[in-house]
Amino acid sequence: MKLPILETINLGHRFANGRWGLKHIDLRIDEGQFVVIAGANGSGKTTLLRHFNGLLLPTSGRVLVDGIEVSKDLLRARKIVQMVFQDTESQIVGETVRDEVAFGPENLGLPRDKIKALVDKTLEQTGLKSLSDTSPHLLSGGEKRRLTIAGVLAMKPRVVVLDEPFSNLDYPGVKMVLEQLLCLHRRKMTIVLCTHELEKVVAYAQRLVVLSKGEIVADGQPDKVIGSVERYGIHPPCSLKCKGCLEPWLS
Amino acid sequence: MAELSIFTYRPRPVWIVDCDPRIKLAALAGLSICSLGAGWTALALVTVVTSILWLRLVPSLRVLWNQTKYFIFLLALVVLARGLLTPGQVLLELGPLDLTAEGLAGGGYIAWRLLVIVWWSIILTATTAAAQIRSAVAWFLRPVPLVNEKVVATMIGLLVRFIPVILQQVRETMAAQQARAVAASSNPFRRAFKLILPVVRRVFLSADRLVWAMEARCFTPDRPFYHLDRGPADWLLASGAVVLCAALLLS
Repeated sequence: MKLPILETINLGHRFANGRWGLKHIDLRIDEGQFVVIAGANGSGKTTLLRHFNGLLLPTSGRVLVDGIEVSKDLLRARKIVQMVFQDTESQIVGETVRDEVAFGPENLGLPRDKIKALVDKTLEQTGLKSLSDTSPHLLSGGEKRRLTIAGVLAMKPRVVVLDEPFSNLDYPGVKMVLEQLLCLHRRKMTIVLCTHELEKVVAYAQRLVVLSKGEIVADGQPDKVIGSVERYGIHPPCSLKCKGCLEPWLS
Repeated sequence: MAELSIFTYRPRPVWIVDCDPRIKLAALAGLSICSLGAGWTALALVTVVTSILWLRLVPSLRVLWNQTKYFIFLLALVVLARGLLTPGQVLLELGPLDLTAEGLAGGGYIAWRLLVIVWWSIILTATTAAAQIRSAVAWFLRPVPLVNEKVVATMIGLLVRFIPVILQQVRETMAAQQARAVAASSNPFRRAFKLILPVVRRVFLSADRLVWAMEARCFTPDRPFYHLDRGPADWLLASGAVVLCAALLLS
């Protein structure tokens, strides 16, 4: 049997103030899946994502990336699993779009010519080539988010986890980012996205996991699980209410 | 889209942008030290040269005034304090304190010198990428024993990179407070206190988020340094700095 790319076994996380952020999380994510993790504010979505690349370590239980425990080799876990944060402003460290995309490959100690080739390719893929010498501060919200995605793609990860990637974006921004994610998924990249705005993305996902108060309360195919989300403080997509089915958000 | 301050580096069609960051740093240090003993005439000469350089970087000196006016206000307080606390020919009696001509002249001299040094520093940050500053600092610190030049250089590079972000946060917080009629409060200390607390809190939160984001992208201080190279513009800058230093020392 093929190993899952991400696996949590009875994962628990307790914060410094004694409150449990995650309890008894058992999750297996196979390579190439598009998984949406939904939950109300404070349900533990971000905490869970941070366990996938070792930014947080478990209080109890285990997190495995491609069969190896994250805490045993943090660098390996971070090379495989890359994370796009909710707040783009504090994720961007480069002074130009090119610098920002090069930040990750530079940390990996790659040779200069390889970094340049990787950065050029990533800028091309993400449609940011024409902006390569622009200051990230001058980009629109959607472009900034695409830049943060480009920054992690340049590290050649196998899994991209995204924390609320549509927050603070206008319609063109959401469209831009969603198209980018669908393109990555078509290229067999594993995508784990957490959001409380299911409307935009759930129709494209293969799996929907619902978190409430730090526990998994529903997990399965989106059309099977979606009916129960409202009771956990998540707004169900309008198409479900109006037409009784999930419809793609992009026309 | 964020507003760019004059402190923010961006590629500009000005020769100083392409200069070697080591020469720029050395010029800044030399001019700052030499200005300690400078006379009024030399200081005036340096101010004129700096203003000409400024006009190449910003559309008008009004922009420079707008972005440094709070610092200039602080300098005005320094002049006033010096004027009130230095004995000499009395110009104005203010209760128990006398405003003296010698005090005003001494305070004016200190404030002018500080202003010019700050202008040079802004020219450095506005025309030099943080990665270049980081490389230059590491180059200067390399021969110093017991100092990890890579860590120090990274810290300085990040500090320079985030000055504009912190200023943006100050502006946003001030705008939010003005919208809630903070100006109605007649106590300037209370107003300052109300501003400082949320700004400091935001800065620390941003720093936390930055650490998460850098760790997630496998950050290491052993990143490759910017390629440092000298060209004709560097000799022009170095010669100009030497001439100005000589003028400051001999005046």
